[in-house]
Amino acid sequence: MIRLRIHLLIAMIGLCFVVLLSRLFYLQILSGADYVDEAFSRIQRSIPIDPLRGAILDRHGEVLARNEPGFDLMVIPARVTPESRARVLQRMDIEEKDFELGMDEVRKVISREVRREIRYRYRERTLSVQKRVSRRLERQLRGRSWLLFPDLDNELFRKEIFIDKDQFPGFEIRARPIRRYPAGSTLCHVIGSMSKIFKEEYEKFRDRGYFLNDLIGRGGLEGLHEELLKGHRGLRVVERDSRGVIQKHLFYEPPADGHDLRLSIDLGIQQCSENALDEGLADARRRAQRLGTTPPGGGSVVVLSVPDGHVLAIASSPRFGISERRRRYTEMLEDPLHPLIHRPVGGYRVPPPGSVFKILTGIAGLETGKIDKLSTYHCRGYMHRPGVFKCLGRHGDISLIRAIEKSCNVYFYHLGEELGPTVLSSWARAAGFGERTGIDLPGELAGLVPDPAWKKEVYGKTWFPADSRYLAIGQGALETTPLQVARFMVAVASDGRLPIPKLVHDSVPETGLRLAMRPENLRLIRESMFRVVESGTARRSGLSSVRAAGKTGSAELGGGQETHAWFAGYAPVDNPKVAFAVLLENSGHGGDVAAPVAAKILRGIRDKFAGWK
Amino acid sequence: MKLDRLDWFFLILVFLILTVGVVDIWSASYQINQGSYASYPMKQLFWISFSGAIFVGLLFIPYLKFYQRAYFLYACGIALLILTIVIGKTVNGSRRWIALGPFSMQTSEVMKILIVIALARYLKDRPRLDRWQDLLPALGITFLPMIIILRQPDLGTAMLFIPILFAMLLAAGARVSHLILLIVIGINCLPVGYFFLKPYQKARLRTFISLGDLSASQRMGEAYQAYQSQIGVGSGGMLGKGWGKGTQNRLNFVPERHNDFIFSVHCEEFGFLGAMILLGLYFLLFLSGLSSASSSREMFGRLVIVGTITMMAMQVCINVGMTIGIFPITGLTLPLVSYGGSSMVTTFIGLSLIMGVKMRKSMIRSVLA
Repeated sequence: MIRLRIHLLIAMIGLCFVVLLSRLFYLQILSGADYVDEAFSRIQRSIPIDPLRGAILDRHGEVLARNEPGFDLMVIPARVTPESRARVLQRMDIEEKDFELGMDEVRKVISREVRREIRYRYRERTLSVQKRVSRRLERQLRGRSWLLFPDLDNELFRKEIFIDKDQFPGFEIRARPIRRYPAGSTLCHVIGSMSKIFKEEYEKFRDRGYFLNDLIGRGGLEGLHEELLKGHRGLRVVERDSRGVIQKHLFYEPPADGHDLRLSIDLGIQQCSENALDEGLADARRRAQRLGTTPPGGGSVVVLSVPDGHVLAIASSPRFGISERRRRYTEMLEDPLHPLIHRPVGGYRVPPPGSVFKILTGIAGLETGKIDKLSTYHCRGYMHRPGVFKCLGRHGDISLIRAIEKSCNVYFYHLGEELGPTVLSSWARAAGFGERTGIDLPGELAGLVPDPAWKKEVYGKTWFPADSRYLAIGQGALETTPLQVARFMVAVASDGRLPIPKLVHDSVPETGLRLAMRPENLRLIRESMFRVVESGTARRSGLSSVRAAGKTGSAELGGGQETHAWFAGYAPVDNPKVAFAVLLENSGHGGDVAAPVAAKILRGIRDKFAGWK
Repeated sequence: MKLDRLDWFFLILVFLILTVGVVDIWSASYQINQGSYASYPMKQLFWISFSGAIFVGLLFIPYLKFYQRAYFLYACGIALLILTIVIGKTVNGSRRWIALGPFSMQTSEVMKILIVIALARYLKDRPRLDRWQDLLPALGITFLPMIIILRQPDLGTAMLFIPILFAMLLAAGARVSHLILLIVIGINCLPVGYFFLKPYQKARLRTFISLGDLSASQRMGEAYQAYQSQIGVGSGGMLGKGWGKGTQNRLNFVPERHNDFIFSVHCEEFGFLGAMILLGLYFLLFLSGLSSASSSREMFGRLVIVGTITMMAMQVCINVGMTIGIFPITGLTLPLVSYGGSSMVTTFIGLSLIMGVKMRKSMIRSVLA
């Protein structure tokens, strides 16, 4: 009896042990592998380490773009107290409503997160479950840290929050690298900008090692040299304990920082060019207001180094602060001056070169033997009939040198007719017009060199002698970018070299094309260009004092628009260092408007070059 | 006392289990943040020696002395429990400890043994248990300390008393119909009892009920301990990660790992095989104890053995059960393995009583029969 009862007790204990062992069997043998994974996932963490993005520097190492530490003001909505809120308002010196605007943004982001989570995980649950979960989720998210004001510049406030955390419950500072552009709007079109990778395009970037919301360079050099600048992410795998404290480093691959990009640009020359251009346009705007004529458009300056074809300055106006690009984007899209357009390489409409092109027509005439130093045409102020194919003055019998000096249209009407469109357009192409220069910048346009075949194809009409006359003086359908014009000036200033302009300093120089000219013809052309400055259309510009040579241009656009003011040339005359092109859209005559801008630039930069006094 | 009367098999089992315990505690005492080991293994060795001395000392006392003083000891125990409520040390929200100089004593631990002795005395004195009224004093003896302990609160220890009572009534020859009725009443009391629980106890119970279906937030919150312990056990696999190589253990994921959750450490590092061996040792120990209970002719000794063994067996089941997620978390230790002095002393007192009965079987028969 007793024995039976004891045995029953033993059986009961045995049964308990069997239950324990079966559960152990289930945990350790049947689902052991899952728990091993689970244990590992708790312990091991892969931490990516961001590389430092390379800087963009000018040729002397001046910083154009660089990553610097920035500090964001973060908010934890659930923990904000009225006191801390008031304190932040006071320290940041902002209005209540500006602060609330920021908080609204945070709330929006939170509710967006909540909606996404509901869509993602609770789509098939009932509405009441969804409601309950979203309330809980929102409460949870309000306890996290959200970006309130990016890039705090108030250093004192920043430090105060760091040091005196208790004074600012619900607020904290997050440090992160911010791309800064210390030169402001300088070179804004060339440098490009950084923006996030969006969800829609993430697929495309994932294989290249990007994460969602990574910043990526877009447009300009930031985009073009993304691979070089960005560097490679490092990786650290660590073992962490239950509190998340790192206990062991299992693997470490250091990040490879991005390479710096050194440009051929000289920041001094660039800024000098931009300032002169902006001032020139401002003057033109004041003049237009006074006279009630059409206001000027934008403008371009290109300064190339004659010996090697490097781009020393490439200025466009108007500009924008690179860090403001995103904020002002829509506004800028609607701006009639199109500040987003990079004009020196084309812009939204490639302009005609106007009389600057007469240099090329002259070269073509000399090289084909249609004219020589002494041959003349007769100018009566018009070509055949008064009022049609006019000239700026009555030049009488005029030779090439005087024709360039005074910018005589009639001379070049005759020459253009004699050369014919095929010869002239082929010379234009030989000088690099009508196709891209190949500068290392995205968005360059080719311009247009018209010829009979082109006119037939596009308009279905035959080429008239009038078309040749217009082409000869750089009007009609002809379109050239300031960069092409400046490069053509390199050819004139050197012995016909047409280098491929480069922005990156250390890029392998490419020889490019060569415009073959006889030395005596070249001398003649240079002589005439010097006369332009000494006693010709640009004599009042002060260019002779910096020993420049060049050619003015006033490109007619029709429709009652003010002419585009051009000046292109090189300096100093006896040993050219720089070639340049200046264009002020709809601003008047080249000699009155563009040449003074060129003079101002050259005065500002000549100290930088040895042997140019 | 003659050495050849000692049950050497029983002692060797105890020794082996103690060894496993020290080995596990050694591994569990690694402090990741200091990169060193805490002094738990050495302290545990001290407690083992201390308890061993008590074990040997008690062997010299004929266990009939306990029979004679059973109620007196019981009354002392109750007094101690009440004292604990009044002057006890509060740890983690419950008063279970009385400070004794440098040490502290968990009074409910001692009470477990005293209940066994008191119950044994009562049940021996009343050889016929046919009527309900005969059972009532036994229930009273059990429930009085149980209620006090519930006030501490210490649900785990209090719950231990019910299987002890049940097993002792069973062994004492209570009617089967009465026993079944007791079980039915007990089970029906469970849902009612839920409303008397403290919030944290409710949370633990909820955790236990829903462990198969935990949300991520629960796993980080109320179920954290239970879930971490399960991961530790599960990731041990067949052979374990090796001594001192359990990551859940060493990286401090398992809570109270040298103490309540020592079995998790054992399973993580020695695997299913190690768990089987340890549970096997326990089972042999219980078998050895109960077999002498069945061969003993003397009721008091037999009931003491049954009570003590049931107490230990239930502690093993509950402790292992909570480690592997089939029982709610309680503060019950794994006898002979978990770190801690009170539990060790109590267990050794129990073992000593068992050994005393084993040694004096023949002797008692001549005296009492």
